[in-house]
Parts: sequence; C-alpha cells; structure tokens
Amino acid sequence: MKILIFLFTVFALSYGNQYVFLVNKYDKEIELEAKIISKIAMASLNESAKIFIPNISKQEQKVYSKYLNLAQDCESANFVYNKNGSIETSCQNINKLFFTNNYRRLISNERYYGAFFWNKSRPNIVFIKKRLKKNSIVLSDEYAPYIEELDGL
Amino acid sequence: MVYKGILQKPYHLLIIAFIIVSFLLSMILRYEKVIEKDIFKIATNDLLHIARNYSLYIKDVLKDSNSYVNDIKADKKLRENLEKNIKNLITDNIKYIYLLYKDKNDVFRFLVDGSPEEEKSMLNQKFDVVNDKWFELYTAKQPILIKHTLLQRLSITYLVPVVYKGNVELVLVVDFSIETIREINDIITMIKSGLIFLLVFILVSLALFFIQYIKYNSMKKSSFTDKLTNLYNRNYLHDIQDKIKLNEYVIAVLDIDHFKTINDTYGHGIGDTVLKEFGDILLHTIRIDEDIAIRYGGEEFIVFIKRKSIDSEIPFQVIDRMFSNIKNHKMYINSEKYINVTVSIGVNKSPEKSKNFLEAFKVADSALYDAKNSGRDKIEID
Repeated sequence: MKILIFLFTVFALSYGNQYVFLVNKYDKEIELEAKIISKIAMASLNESAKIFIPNISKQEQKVYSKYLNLAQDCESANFVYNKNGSIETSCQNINKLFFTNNYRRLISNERYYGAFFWNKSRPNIVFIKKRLKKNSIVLSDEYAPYIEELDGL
Repeated sequence: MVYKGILQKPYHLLIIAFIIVSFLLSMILRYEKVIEKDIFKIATNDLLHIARNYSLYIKDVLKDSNSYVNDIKADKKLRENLEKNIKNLITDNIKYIYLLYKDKNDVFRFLVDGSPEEEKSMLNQKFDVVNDKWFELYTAKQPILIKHTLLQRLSITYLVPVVYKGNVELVLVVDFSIETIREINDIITMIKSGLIFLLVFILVSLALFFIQYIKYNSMKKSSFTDKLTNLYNRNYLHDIQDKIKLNEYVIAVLDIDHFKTINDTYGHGIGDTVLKEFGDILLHTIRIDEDIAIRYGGEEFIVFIKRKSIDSEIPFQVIDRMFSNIKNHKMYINSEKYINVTVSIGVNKSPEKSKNFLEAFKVADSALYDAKNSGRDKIEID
C-alpha cells in the first residue's frame, strides 16, 4: 500500500501541471484588458469612472466587474468602451469619452480618442493627440509613448 | 564480527540509493534542458534560416535604395511585392511575419505586414514592444531570439535586422505560434515521464531489495542465535569456523560445573534460567564488537576472544572476568533462595598453531577436560 501511495504521489506530481487546462486561458487576457481600461478611464476622467461596454459577454462581465464600475446602459456611463462594433443611436451624449479596441475604427471615427487592442498577440495602446485635446483630456507623462499625432504620419 | 563490508549496515544501502536517485534526478534535470534545446533547434532551424534569407532578399530588392524606410513608404507597388513574398512564409508554426522600422522617437512602426487582412496592421501603425531586446538589436546588429513567457499565443519571436551602411534600417519580425513549443514540450514530457518511471522503478526495486535484505538479515540472525541465551549457536560456529582467522583469537571452552545436578535438583526450568543468566553474564563480560560467544551445546560454550597481538594479555583478563563474574553471580531459584554456579574453562592460548578450528578446539577442550578432572571451578590454559 505504501508503495502504491508513493507511486501515486510521484504520478500526481509529475502530471500536476496538466491541471492548468481547467483555467480558461483567455481569462488572463481579459483580466489584463480590464486593468488597462480601468487605469485609462481613471486617468482620462476627472470623476470616478462608470464604464459601459456594449454587448459585453458574461465571461467579460465577470472579469471586468472585478476592476471596473460597470454601467448597465450608455446613458448612465461616463466612459464607453466599444469592443463589439455597434453603439446604439441613443448613446450619443457628448458628456462621455469613447474608447475602442480597434485601430481602424479609431482612425476612421473621430468619436474615439483612443484604443486598446491586441496586435500580433501583444497589447497595444494608442491615443490621438488632437482628440485628447478636443475632449480636454490631460494624461500624465506615463502615457506619452502611446500618444500619436496622426497628421504627422 | 566476521562479516565486514558495505552491506553489513543497512544505512549504507540508503546512502547508495540516495546517491543513485540524486544522480538520476540531476541527469533528468540536466538533460531535459539539453534535449529541449536540441529539439527546438531541429524544429526551428530551417525556419530561422528562411527568415535570414528573406532579410537578404529584402536587401537585394532595395539594393538601389538610399533610404529603405522612405522608399518602402513611398512605393506602394514595392510594399505589395514585399507583402506578397512575406505572406508565403506563413506556416502552421509561423503565426506572424512583418517588417518594422524604428522612428526618431524610438517607436516601432509597420511597413509591411504578411498577416491575413483582418489582422493586418496599417502602414506606419505604431507597434508597442516591452522587451529591451528589440532595442538591443540596433547595437548587436545580429538576429535575436526572444522567448515569451507572458504572451498566451506566441512562443518565440525572431528578430532579423536588415542593415544598410552599418545601421539597422529595418527589422524583419517572425512570431512563432505556441504549437511548435507545445509539440516540443509534449516530446520532452514524454521523455521525462519515461525517465521518472525508470527512476520510480529503480526506487521501488531498491526498496524491495532493502526490505528483502532486512528480512534476510533478520532470518540469518535468528538462525544463528540461540533463543535461550541470546548467544550465537552451533549453526553460526559452522558458518564461521573455516573463515575465522585463528591467529587473531584465543579460544576458551566453558562448561558449567554440576549442571546436571542443578537440573536434577531444581528442575529443567531452573536449569534454563541458569543457562539464560549464564548467557547474560557472558554477553556483558565479553567485548561485544570483538569477541564471539557461542553456545556449543547443552551447558558447554565457546568464546573467541580477540587479541591484538600474540602476546597480548587482554584475552586472559577477559577470561578471568568471565570466570569471576559467573562465580560471584547469585542465581535466584526463587524470590529468596539462590545458588552460586561455577564454571570450568579450557583455554587454547595459541590457536594459530593448529591447522584448523577443529584442531584448535580440541586443544581447548582437552584443557577443559583437565580443568574438570582437577576439581572443576578452574581455568586451564594450554
């Protein structure tokens, strides 16, 4: 019996790392994204952030709510993070900041002042200088490497 | 004791097992890295070579250029041509391949991207990098391999500098998917499991051997021990008599005086008690690591007393001590009454003069006979 317990222990220790498959591998990415969005929203607003993410999935909601104060609708939010493409027409209030997860959307739509997105599996952040100014957003020096002057490119 | 050697003490086996297991574990850990490195080299060597060749191709395409970056930016056709070629390098193992430059603010930007349309970056799009190796490339001017530990979907990135007039102008970036590393890790895990299985097999074998050895020793000890007196028995004498070095011992043969009378008077129970106490006295009197006390049969005992040299007096001091300790010991036959037992001892002080143990024993036995015949309770030395 002792030998069996010993063999079982060796076996369990050898294959212990296989239990990693029980953890959703995308949770880590969502977690990182939630932390970054939370930080950006707080740095961009002069008040506490209430964030609306249209069409948010349950898995995202679970992770995001750990780091952000999530708004149920666009009207009650002061920061909109558009991850999934469309924003309802009622969500046009000017007293909000719009952020996206798509670089092309950022370039093509002036509503967005910045984007956080995964490029080549790496996290990337871009703010557009003119739009920061337009929204009266003053970011600390920490964000300087991420600010782009689109006209100069 | 006669048996000397590495297997005499069980902890020697544990030390051997520990050394073997430590050695095997260190080998597993050491060779795991070597194997990983070799398999990785085999799996990626061709791809890395292709990437280096492609960087040479880019140089060749831009051989008339004075500014690689500006020319690629300005020439859409050139970009399309490079992109078309770069796309051909995408495989199951190469997830992304793209061409970057570093602007005057040390920001990396895209020039050509071989990714599918939905993942393709735009010309001049900023690309955030966090690893300092990206910048080291500009001083090393040699390809650099970056292993990712934090990224979920990439295993390694290979950076190939495209150098113009001694300066790194462009960086060809090849991102490997996790599949290659996963496959390599699967092979390594398989090898490691095999080695661990082997290790467990060796450990279990050693454990079984150890258990068997303990059992064997225990049985051997039991078969060589007289249960009543706890001294060695005649089996043990048979076992050692041809191996024992006679020149290292003085042989004493002891016989309890009037033992038959004790048995007849007080019964065999008391006789056994006398024998047991007699055995205890011998065990407490001899030097347990050097001398050997054997119950030869009935009330007769043989003691091999170790001597350092032929003229050593110590064996005779031991014999005197045995003689007096037995004589002075009170052997209680009940809670109040005791008897004093005496012993006759025949000693062969020079066993080395005999051809073998049996002859040496005969000399000691003859001395014992003389001691018995001259009134008992005596030591007779021959």
